[in-house]
Amino acid sequence: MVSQFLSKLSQIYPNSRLLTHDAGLVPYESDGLTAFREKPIAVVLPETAEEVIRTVQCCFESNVPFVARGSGTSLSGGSLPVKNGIVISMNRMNRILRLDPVERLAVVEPGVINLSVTKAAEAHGLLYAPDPSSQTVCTIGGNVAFNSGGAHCLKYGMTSNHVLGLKVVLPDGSVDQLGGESLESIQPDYVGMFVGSEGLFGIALEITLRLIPKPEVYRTVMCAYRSLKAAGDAVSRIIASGLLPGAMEIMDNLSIQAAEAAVHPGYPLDAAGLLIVELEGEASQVEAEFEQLLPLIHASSPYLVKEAKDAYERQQIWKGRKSAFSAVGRLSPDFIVQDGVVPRGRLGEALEEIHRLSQVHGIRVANVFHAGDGNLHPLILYDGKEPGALHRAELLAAEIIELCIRFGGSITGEHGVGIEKRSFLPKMYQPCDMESMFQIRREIDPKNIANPGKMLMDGAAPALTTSGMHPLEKAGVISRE
Amino acid sequence: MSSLDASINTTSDSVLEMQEIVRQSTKVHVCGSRTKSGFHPLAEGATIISTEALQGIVSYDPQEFVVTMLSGTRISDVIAILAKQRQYLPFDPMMDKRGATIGGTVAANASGPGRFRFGGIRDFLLGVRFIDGRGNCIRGGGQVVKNAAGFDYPKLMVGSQGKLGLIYELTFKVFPRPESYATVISRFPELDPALTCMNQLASSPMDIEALDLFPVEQKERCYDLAIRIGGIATALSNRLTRLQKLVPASRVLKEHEDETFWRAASNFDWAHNAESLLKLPITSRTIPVLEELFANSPINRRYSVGGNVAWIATEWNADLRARLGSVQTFLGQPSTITRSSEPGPFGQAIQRALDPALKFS
Repeated sequence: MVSQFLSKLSQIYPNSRLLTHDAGLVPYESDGLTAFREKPIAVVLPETAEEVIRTVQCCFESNVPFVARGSGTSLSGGSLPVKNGIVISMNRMNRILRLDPVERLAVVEPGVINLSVTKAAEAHGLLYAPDPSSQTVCTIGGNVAFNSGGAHCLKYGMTSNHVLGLKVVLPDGSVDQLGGESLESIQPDYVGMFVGSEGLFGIALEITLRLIPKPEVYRTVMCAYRSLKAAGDAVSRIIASGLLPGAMEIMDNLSIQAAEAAVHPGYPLDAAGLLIVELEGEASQVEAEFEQLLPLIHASSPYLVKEAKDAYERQQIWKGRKSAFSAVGRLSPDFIVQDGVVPRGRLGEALEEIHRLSQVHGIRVANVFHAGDGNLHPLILYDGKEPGALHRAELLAAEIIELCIRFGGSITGEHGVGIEKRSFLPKMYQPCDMESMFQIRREIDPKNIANPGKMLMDGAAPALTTSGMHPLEKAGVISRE
Repeated sequence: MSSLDASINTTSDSVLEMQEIVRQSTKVHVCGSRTKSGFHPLAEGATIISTEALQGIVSYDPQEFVVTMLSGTRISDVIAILAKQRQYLPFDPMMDKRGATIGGTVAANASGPGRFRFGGIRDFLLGVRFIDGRGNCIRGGGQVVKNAAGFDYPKLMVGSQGKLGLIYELTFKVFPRPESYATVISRFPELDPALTCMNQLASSPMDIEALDLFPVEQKERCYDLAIRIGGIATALSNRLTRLQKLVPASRVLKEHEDETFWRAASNFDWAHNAESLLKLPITSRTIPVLEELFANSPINRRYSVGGNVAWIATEWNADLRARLGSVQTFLGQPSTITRSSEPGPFGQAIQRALDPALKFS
C-alpha cells in the first residue's frame, strides 16, 4: 500500500525531491514544539503549484494524510508530521511572483520568508506589517496557516488582516481562488476564513499580500520599572489617554537577563519590568503624540527612561525583545513557549497568578508579552532529562491557559492551537461551536487527511460515514431537522 | 410600502425563539432595518426574521478597546456611545442617517471611506454569535483584541448577506478617535493626473484617513480628489500645510464642514436616490476602464478607499451590469450577482456545513 503510494509520488518528483530514507526524514520529525516527534513516511519538496496540487490529489486518492510545512517554526506543533502521512515541504516555492508598488501589493509563493517581503517592498517605501519574532526564518505560507501575529497587532492586526487573496488547493485536490487584489469584496470573506485554519482546509499556493507605506518616523522608548505591575499600569495609562502606539511590549527580569546575555541590547539588568513603547507615523503627528506620552510615562515612576536616538538604537531595543524566546534557551535546556490572551485590564492580575503558580510548581517562568493587546508569552523552563519535568511543565502551561479562559481571554493570541492546545479549544467554545467546526471540517476535508489531529481532536471527529447519532446529538446538545 | 414591509412576520429578542423559527422554516430571510434594498431577493414562502428587536450594547469596556452589541443596534446609536469615550469604529460604518443596523452593515460588508486608514469591517470584527441553518447558535472568535483560536467565523460573516445564518451578536475592536480632522479637495482637469496623485498619496507615509475620487458634476472630465487627515489638533495645521504643498487645494474643509462632507459620502447623499446603487470592488487600475465605459453618460459614481471600490449610481441597466462583471446591487431592485462571484468549492463546502438545507439562500 505504502509502496504503491510512494511510486505514485515518484511519478511527480525526481528522487532528489522525494525523501523516504531515515536520514532525509529526521529533520522533518519535529517543529518549534520540540517535545513532540513523529516520522513521516515521506517528505516531498515541490517546486511548483502544479506539483503540490498533484501531490494532494494523490493523497486524496490513496487516503494518505499530509502536512504542509514551511520553516517548521510553529510553536504549537502545527507542522508536526502525522503518523503514516507525508510532509509537503514548501520551502522551494520561495518566489515573490509580483510586487506592485502602485497598488501596494505583493503576490508570493508560500515558501517566501516573511522578512523578504518587507525587504523587497522597502525600495518602494512600503512594508509588510505582520512581524512575528521568527520573521527572519518563518514563511508566509506558515503565517497564513496559523494567522501569525507579532509586535504591532493592536494597530495593524494579524496576518489575516494583510492577506487580500489566496489561490488554494483544497484537501480533495480541487483548486479555488479566494479574494483578489482589492481591499473590498462582495463575497463572504473566505480569505479570512481560510487564514488561520492551521492546514485543515488545504494548502495556500499563491498569496496576495497587502503592503503599507513605511511609517515616516518612529519614536521608540524603553522604560525600566522596579515592579512588573508598574510597567503594566503604565500601559493602562497610555491606553486611557487615547494614544494608539504601534507597539507596547513588556519583559520581566528573567527575560531581560536572557536577552541581555544573548544579544546585548543594553537592557537594565536590575529592572523587574521593562516596557518598550513605540509610536510611529507622520512626523508632526508622532511628535505631538510623543509630547503626550512622556508625562504619562514619567507619572508611572520608571527609574530609567531611554529613547532610541537613531535607527540603530531602535533596532537594538527590538533585537533584544525579538530574541527573547531563543535567549531564554540559554537559561534552561528546555522550555515551553506559552501563548495566551487576557483582557488588557487584567494583565497585572494574570501576571501575579502566573508568578504564584510558578512558585507552587517550583518551576521558573520568564514572561514576555505584547502588553497592548493582552497577549502573554510565559516561557516555562524545565530540563527534559529530569524524569517527569516535561509533564510538570505541561501541567503549569495548562494552568496558565485555563487562567486565560477564566479571565475571558483566549487560549492563543498568535501561535495557533496546533497539537499543543487542541484539548483546550473545547474549553473555550461550547459543544455546538465545536460541532460546527467539525461540520465545516468534514465538508472541506471529508477524508480527514489535511493536517489531521491539529486544532480539532481526532477522536471527537467521527467521519460522516459513521452510522447512528452523533455523540452530541445523543447528549441532546445538538439536533438535526 | 415595499413587499418586505408588508410581509415582516417575525421579530424577537429571544435567541431560543429565533432558533426555533429557523428550525421550523424551510426558507428564512433575515433583515435589519432594511436600508440596503439591493440584496438577495425574497424567496417564495420565506419566513422573514427582522433583527430590529435585537437592540443594545451588551458590553463596552473603553479601556479594552472592545465593544459587544446585538445585531439590530443602530449604527447611529453605536457611534454616539463610542463618541462619549472619544472612540470610534475605524471601518467607518455606512448609512447611519438612514438607520442602518450593525448586523446589516456586517452582512453587507459596508465599510465607509474612512476604512482607508486602518482597515474594513473584517479588520475590526473580533467575535460573532449567529444562528446557523440547523437552528444552532454558534459563537466564533472572542472578546479580546487578539485571538487565533478556532476557525475565523467573524470574518466569514463579513459580506455573508444573510446567506450563512442570522447574525445575533457582534464584538468589535474600537480605536481612539482622532481629535480633529481636515480635508483637502483638489480639482484635476483630467483623470490621469488625478489618479497619479491618488496613488502617490496612498503610497506616501502621510497618514491619510480617507481618499476618494469622483467626477465633478456638470463639469465634464473634471475630477475631485478628497483627502482627509486626522489626529492631534495641535499637529494638524502643520500636516495640512504639508499636504497642500503636495496637492494644490481648491477647497479645505474643517470641523463641521469636514464632518458633513464625509457623513454625506458614507450615506450616499451624492447618489441622489438613484434607482440603484452598485458596488464594484476594484483596484485603481480599473478606474480608467470604467471611466471610458461611463464616458458621456449621466451615471453618478465615486471611487472610494484609494481606488479600492467603485460606487455606481444608475438607472436599472442590464447591459451595464453585464459589462461590469462581478457587481453587487447595494440599493435598488435586487438582482442576483453575476456568475463569476458565486462561491467556488471552498465557499460551497462552508455553505453545506452551515446551512445544509439552504434555508438562508
